[in-house]
Formats: sequence, C-alpha cells, structure tokens
Amino acid sequence: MKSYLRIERLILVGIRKNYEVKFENGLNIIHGDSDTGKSSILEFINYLLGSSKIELADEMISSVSYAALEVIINDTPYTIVRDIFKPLDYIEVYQCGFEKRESFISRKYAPNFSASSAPDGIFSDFLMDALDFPRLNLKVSPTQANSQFRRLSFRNIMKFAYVNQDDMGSKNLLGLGDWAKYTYTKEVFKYMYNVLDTDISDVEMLLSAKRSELQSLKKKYENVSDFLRETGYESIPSLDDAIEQCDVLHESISHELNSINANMLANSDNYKELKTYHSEFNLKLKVTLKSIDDLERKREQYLRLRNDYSNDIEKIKAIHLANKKIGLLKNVKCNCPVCDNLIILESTDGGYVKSKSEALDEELMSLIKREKSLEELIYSLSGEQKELLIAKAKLELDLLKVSEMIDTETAGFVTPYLTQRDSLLKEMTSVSKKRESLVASLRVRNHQQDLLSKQNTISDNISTITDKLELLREKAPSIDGVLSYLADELMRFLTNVKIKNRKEIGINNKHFSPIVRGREYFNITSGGLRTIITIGHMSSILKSSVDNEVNHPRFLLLDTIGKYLGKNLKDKYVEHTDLRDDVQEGVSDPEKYENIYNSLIEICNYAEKKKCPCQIIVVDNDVPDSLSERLKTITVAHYSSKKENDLPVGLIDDINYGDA
Amino acid sequence: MNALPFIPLDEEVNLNIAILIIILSTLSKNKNGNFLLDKNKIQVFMYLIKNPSKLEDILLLTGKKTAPIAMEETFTMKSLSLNVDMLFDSMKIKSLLKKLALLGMLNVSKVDGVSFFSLTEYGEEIYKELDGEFFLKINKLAKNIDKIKSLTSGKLNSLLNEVFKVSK
Repeated sequence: MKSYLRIERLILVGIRKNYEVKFENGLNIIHGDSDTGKSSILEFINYLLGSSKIELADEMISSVSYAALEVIINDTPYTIVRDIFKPLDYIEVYQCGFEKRESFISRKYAPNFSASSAPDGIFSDFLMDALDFPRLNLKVSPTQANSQFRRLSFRNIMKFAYVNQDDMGSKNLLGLGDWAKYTYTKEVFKYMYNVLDTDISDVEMLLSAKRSELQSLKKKYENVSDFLRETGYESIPSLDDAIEQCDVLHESISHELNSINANMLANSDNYKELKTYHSEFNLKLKVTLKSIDDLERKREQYLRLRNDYSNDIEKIKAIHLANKKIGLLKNVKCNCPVCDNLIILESTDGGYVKSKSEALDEELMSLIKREKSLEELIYSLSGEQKELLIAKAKLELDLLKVSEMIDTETAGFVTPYLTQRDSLLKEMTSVSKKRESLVASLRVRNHQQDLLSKQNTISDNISTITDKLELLREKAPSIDGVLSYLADELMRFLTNVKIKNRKEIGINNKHFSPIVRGREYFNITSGGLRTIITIGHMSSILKSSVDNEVNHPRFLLLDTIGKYLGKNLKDKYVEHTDLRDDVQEGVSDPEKYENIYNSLIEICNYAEKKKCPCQIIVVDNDVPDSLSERLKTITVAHYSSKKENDLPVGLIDDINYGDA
Repeated sequence: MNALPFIPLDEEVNLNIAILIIILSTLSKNKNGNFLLDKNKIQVFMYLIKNPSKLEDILLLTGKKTAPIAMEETFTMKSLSLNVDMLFDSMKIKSLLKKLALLGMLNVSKVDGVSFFSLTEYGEEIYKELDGEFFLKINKLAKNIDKIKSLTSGKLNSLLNEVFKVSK
C-alpha cells in the first residue's frame, strides 16, 4: 500500500461557534469572492501540518480560539490541534476523530527541531513516522566530502504538495533563484524519488563523520607527540625495562624483610616467660595493697572508738568531781536574779539526768576494760599491717626486677632488627614510588600509541566505506529516468491544456525545473504560462506518486489557479508578468481554463482507477461557467461577499465581511 | 526511761553545769570589761565545747586557730555524726541557767534591754575548784573560743552553716 495523508476536515473552534470545511478524496474546489477566507483554509491546513506561523485576518483573531485538522494517515485517523496565537506551543495529536478527542490522551509534539524537550518529540518526526517515510539527515552541500548534514523535515516535502498564492506561477517557485538554499531542495527532490539512495546518504554521513574523527585524532596525536618530545619522556621499551628492574628490586627486599620478621618471632619466647612473671607479681601486689587498705580502715575505726571511750572515762571522773563540788539540788526555791520572781525547779527540767554514783562507777569500770581490749586489738592490727607492708615492698622490688629484665631482653634482640627493618622498608617505599611514576609515564605513552592505532583503524574503515559507496553509486536508480517521466507528464498536461508551440519540453537535470520551448521556467516572461506550467509540474509529481513508490503525502494544495488569468489579476502580481505575452499565449482563454480543471479531474480519476489515494484541493476566485454544474458536487466551500443565492459570506460566516 | 544499761554521759546535769560555769568564767567579758554572753551565744559556745571537731573547723575557717586541739578529742566516732539538736533547743540552756541561779552562781546584767550573764563570786570560787583532766581540756577549748567570743551570734551561726555544708 502506498503511504498517504488525506485531509478530512478543518475545524476552527470559535468563540461563538465552530467553523468547518469538509474534504473528500479526489478533487475539492473552494471558490468565492476575494477576501472571503478561501486562501485562509489552505493556510490553516498548512499551519496545522507544521508551518511555523500563520497570518490571521482580523475576523479570525476576533472569532477563533484554536484550530483543529482531522486527517487520515495510512488508514489511521488523527486529529491535530494547535493554538493559533502561540505557534511555539506544543502541537497536540489525538488518534481519533475531532469529537471523540475528549476520551483520548493527546500526544504533545514540539513544532520545530529547536524545541527538543517536548514530551513526545518533534511534530515533523511524528508525520514522517506515520507516513513511513525514512527519517534522514541530508547533506547541505552534496558536492563536498565533509559537508554538514541537516535533518530532513516534513516541511521540506510539504513544498512539493502546497503551492500558495504567492508561489503560484512565480519565478521563485520552490525557491528557484536562491541557489545556495536550492541545493538542499534538490536533495529533498532526490529523496522523494528515492534517487538519493538512503544507503548512500547513510554511508556518506558515516564517511564524513569518520573523516572528521580521523582529522581530530591526527591533530591530537601530533599535539601529544610534540608535548612528550618536548618534556623528554622515555620511550615505551625503556620504560618497560625500568619497571621490570623496580619489580625485581621490590621482590628481593620483601624477601629479606620476611626473613627478619621470622627471626624476631623465634627470639621472643624468653620475653613471653618474663611477661608472665611480670603479670603474676603485679596481681599479687594489687591484692596486698588492698588488704593493707582494709586494715588501715579498720584500725582507724578502732582508734576513733578508743578515743570516744577515753573521753567518756574522763567525763565520768569529771561528773564525780562536779557532783561533789556543786552538790545536789532537790526542789529548791529561790528568787530570780533578774526579776525577783520565785523560781521552782523540777528534777526533770531540761531533760537532764542524774545518775547514781554506783552506776557511774560500774560504767567506768566497763569502759576501762573495753578501752584496754581495743588497744590490744589495735596493736595486733598494726602488727599485721607491718607484715603486709614488708611483703608489699618485696613484691615491688620483684616487679621492678622483672620489668628491667624485660627491657634489657627487648632492647637486646629487637633494636638491631628494627634498624635493619626500617632501612629496608624505606628502600621498598622508594622503589614502589619510582615504579608508580614509571607506570604513569607508560600510561601516557600507551595512550599515544592508542591514538595512532585508532587512526589506522579509522583509515581502514574509510577505505572500505569508500569502496562500498562506489558500489552503491553504480547500482543507484538514475535521476534521468525520473526526469524524463516528469517531462512526459508535463508534455501531456500542456497538450491537454492546448498550449501553443509545444516543443523542447523537458526537465532541467541540473535544478530539476521545467523547460518549455527550450527556456528555463524562471526565464519565461508570461505569468499565465508559468502558472500553467506550475500546475502541470506539481500535478505531474502527484501523478508520479500514484504510479511509483515516492515519498510524497499524495495530496496537492493549489491556491488561485486563475492568478494571472483574466479579470481577476491582483494589482500586486501585475509586475511579475508581461501582459502582452499573456495575451499572445491566450492564457485568458476560458477553454484553457476549463482544460486545466479537466486535467486535474483526469489525474484524480486515474488515481481512483489505480486504487491509489489522491487528493487535490483547489482554491480559485471563480470556476468556468461551463464546468460549474459539473463541479458543484465537488465544491466544498463557496463564498459570496454579497450573499448572492444565500451563499455564506465567508469562512467566518457569522460576521459581515462587507464591513470588515 | 533509762531501761537500757546505758548512761548518756553528756546529759549529766552537773557535768553540764560545770561546763557552763567554765564558759561563764572565761568568756563573759572582753578586755574592756564589757559583758559579751547573752543566751544565744552561750548556746552556740556550749555546742562548740561539746563538739570540738566543729570548733576546730570554725577556727580553721576564720584563721584564728592558736592552741592545737588534741587529736583524741576530734578523731572520734562522735565527730563523724552531725547532731545539732542542742543548737535549737533553747529549753535546755534555760533550764541550766535556772539551776545555776538557784545555786546562787548566776549574775545577770541588763544592757540596752538584753540580758548578759556572768558568774557571782561564789560561782568563781566553784570554778577554781573544778580541776581534773576533763575540766582542763574544757578550759583549753574555752581558750580557743576566746578568739571568736566577740563575734555576734548571727555571725557565729553563719560560720556554723558553712562548716555543716562542708562536712556534708
């Protein structure tokens, strides 16, 4: 099946209402008075297919909020929705009809290549993928070996499917005349006809990338080599030798070190024995110190108690004396020394006691006894303590001796090992340091080597790729076949339209533009003739897509066929045509006009017969009277600024165009 | 009350009277012959005499220690405990003064409405008869107190508070 894009319906979602135009397969005609919005229909379609901007008429600005286009691409319906005021906003695509879009989630595409952050990518890529067109990068200047590449956009192909009013019959059709940019258009033309084999372009791209890489590698290698030469780097073999020497030295040192470590372990048995003694004495000393401490505390308590006793003994003696001297008071009364009141004393007054002399003596005897026994206890404790102190002194001496022995032992066998070990370790570190630096140097050298070998592989690659390219070029389909087919179709069209003097008709094989009577298209002076050739050339391309596998969306939008024809010539186009030549050609002849429509209908019929989708949308001021009845069925929009025959006043049909 | 075979020697009435006699005899006047001892100060000095370790602390605190206090008196079980009942029980000192009055040994002089106590001549006679080891010690302690006898009772109390804080 051949890829196609069919425009189904244009919907302008307005503030008061929606404005719709429906389209069918085959020829669709829009006609009406000037300034009724006919051309806007094609402009909207172009805009919804990714054009960068749209010129909005005043009534559009005041009535329309956004635009939608229902299309069918390869049997799948899509609705494309785009804001008409913000062309840089994402374009939304629903995989359904316009009315059902509420229940679908839209995909959002960026309108151009520069906005790459869109959630679903770029709109052009979406269209190319939907149409099954290969996505390629084409050379900007194909003759140069390391030319830049530019991504092929659907917009480039759109040039061959949409002729706007300015381009219609213009000398600058398809950008002719601007030769710097035109080379790219030529590449697109070749792409459409698969003359530009995808393999070739891929390979060429690869080749160009490889060549640039080779160039940069060469430069890098030169820089690195220069630098290394200037800084006096050793060569790879000498570096290898030096590293090997380091390794040998390192190994011998570590061997020596191991043997020293083994000796040290063997000699340490003596030390272990001493160490056990040391810890034993240490433990004993601690135990002794603790018991001395305990005894000391006990003795202290006994001493305190003894002091209490002896104080009490003195006290009892003092009590006896006081009793004797002061005498006894028994319920005596006397006058107060201060106030002369009577003072009465009770024996219990103040909580003091008066013990009997015998009880006191008894207490005295017992206290003396207790004091004596305590004294004995204290003496024995002191003796015990003394013994412990002697033991402690002896233990301390032992401990000191053992410690000294350990010190001498250690000093005796460890010191020589240590110095030897130290010097060995120092040497070992210096060797490994040296090795490290050597390895770093080697890494640099190896990288340099690497650059060189990479260069070689790339050079090999380039030669094989060049061979492959040669082979592909030989097998590629020739552009001449395509051009002669298009020339034949143009001839047939001109014959149908009945143009005079049909000779030396062809397609220029340099810039693929039509030649009539031996003259290049852009050198033809008659605007009318150019218009007819434009239509003929564009419709030939459409027809070729019916017959062949061509990367073309299989629709054609033609704006104002009668641009240079007859009474409708607009003032701004007058300077682009030679009116006398137009008269001589007889382009205003209604018959020729009629023939153009007939030829377009013929192409649609041919496509229908071939069961190939094909759509032509024509915008014109008026249709030939003789055809108007026949064309009524395929007229999709007909506007009249004066509302003749109840015709709508324009695309925006609910305002008064006359006043606008 | 005294069912236990234990005699609270410090509570013997005549011992306490004897100590009070010594205090009144040695500390009642300053160099100029002014009376110094009111009831509160007598109470504090009684406490210090009976707790020589605290007396030692106070003297250390004021830096006025002169005659050393025998270790037998401070290094005791009693000094480890903190019994301050005597400092707050004013009934005890009142009863002792009353007894002293009955015995005809107490002399009272009123200066500015405050009662100051001293001994009568009879009292001084009795004081001279109090010899023996224990009373000699008490006399020594009283001599130590001599350095701080002019301090007010408020100042003495705050010094005691310091000492208690440390000993805790």
